[in-house]
Amino acid sequence: MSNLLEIQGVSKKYDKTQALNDVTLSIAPGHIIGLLGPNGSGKTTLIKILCGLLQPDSGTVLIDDNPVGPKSKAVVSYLPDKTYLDEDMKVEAVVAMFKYFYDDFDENRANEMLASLKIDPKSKLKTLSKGNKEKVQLMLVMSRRAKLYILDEPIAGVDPAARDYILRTIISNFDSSASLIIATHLISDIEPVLDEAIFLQDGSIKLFKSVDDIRAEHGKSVDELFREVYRC
Amino acid sequence: MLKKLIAYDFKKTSPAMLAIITLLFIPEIIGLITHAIMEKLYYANSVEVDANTIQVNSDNLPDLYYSLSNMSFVFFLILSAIATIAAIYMIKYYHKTLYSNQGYLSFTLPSSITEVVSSKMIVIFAWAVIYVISATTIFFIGETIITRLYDPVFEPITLSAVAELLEELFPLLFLLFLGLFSQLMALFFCMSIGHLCKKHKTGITALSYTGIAIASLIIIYYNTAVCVAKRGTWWWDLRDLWCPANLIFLFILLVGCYFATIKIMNKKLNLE
Repeated sequence: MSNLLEIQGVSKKYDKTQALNDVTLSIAPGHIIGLLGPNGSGKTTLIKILCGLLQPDSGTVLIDDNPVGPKSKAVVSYLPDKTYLDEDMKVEAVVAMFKYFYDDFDENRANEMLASLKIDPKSKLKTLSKGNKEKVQLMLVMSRRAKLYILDEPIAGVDPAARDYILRTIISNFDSSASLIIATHLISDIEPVLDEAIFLQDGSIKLFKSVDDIRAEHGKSVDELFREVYRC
Repeated sequence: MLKKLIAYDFKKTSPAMLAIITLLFIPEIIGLITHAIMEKLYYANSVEVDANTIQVNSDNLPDLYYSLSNMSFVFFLILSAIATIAAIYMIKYYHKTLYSNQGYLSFTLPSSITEVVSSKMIVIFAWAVIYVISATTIFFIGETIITRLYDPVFEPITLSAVAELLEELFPLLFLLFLGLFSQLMALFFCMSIGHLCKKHKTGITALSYTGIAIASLIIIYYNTAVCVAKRGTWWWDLRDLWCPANLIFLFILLVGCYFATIKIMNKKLNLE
């Protein structure tokens, strides 16, 4: 089976800062990967490159054997770390928009999740609380039957109960033939769901191992290893 | 996907733009009614000299006529304000959907950056055409009705007269739209330049657009002056604006700014 994501020698520089430095990695289908690192390590830069929001200075990216473009974007479902929807829109209008643009969008699944969240589809996004807005955005992303899900800080800035809901939503709606990349620094919450972990530091990959291997080799949880590696 | 994007952008902007165009009709209709009253007052004292000639004694025009005449400036201001609101709304839509957080949605749709950006431009141009045609159609229909009602020597409009009028107006309208589109495209280009800067994005956009606008005015003025000089006269009229040099310049500005904007967006896009 070919890899779903192939990154070869990707580098990106902002002025004098090397945000990514010769990053190479491959991800097969059916994996949940934690993209871990402190602020400024290059997580968001890498994610933006995968989603076509940024051009690398060098290197190549192939997603499902396609370079980053319309075909790759059709199979990537991306959740940014900010509110990116027009807040004057109603929830039902946003659902209709996703259905209009994405062939793999499952409207029934989206409506089920809305019902479980007890969110009125006719309410405007701006009337929702911050937590509910993030849940709506997550619901839209997870309602797509994508091949690669990329979630940038999905549980930052929400309360612990909401975090549990978000993680349950991710796992229960995740297609096992797809892959999921979660960028976060709240590792202890995410660790139970991870198959593999990528540690990024100063734009380079320090470590890319399965969670089981990390525990076996280092005798520590991923969270404990992270704290040790990135100790200030 | 471009057709889908255009359809979606058009639908999204329709409520606001249709409301603005409807709002436009109010001062236009009031202005036309005012003009009708003025025409009635003006021709009330007219004396028919022969079948096609009338004489009007403008010394006996009532004060109301002059008051209404002064008000026409107010209508012009109101119409300009509504046009400005329409322009601000569309430019704000362009900026919000591409350069703000909503850009994360726009640029991750299953389409190319070129299609996403071009879609917004096409929709803005389409609304500009709809706006101008709506405004001018109401104006011409209203003026025709007023002339028919109050002008004693009104000649019925024939198809050939309409064709002649359109033939005269077409170059002017073409130039108007080409000029409008090229300046809008220059603004889009300047917005992409501003986006490249870390600080003072709005200032850089405004400054660069001011530069391009001033340069455009100078070039158009120069080309027009050359055209007037070639005719061996000092007085210019609208046909001097419609000279090949101006058309070529505006076309190059439009196409050049389009490709430059697309190139910058494709190579240097970076939403904060």
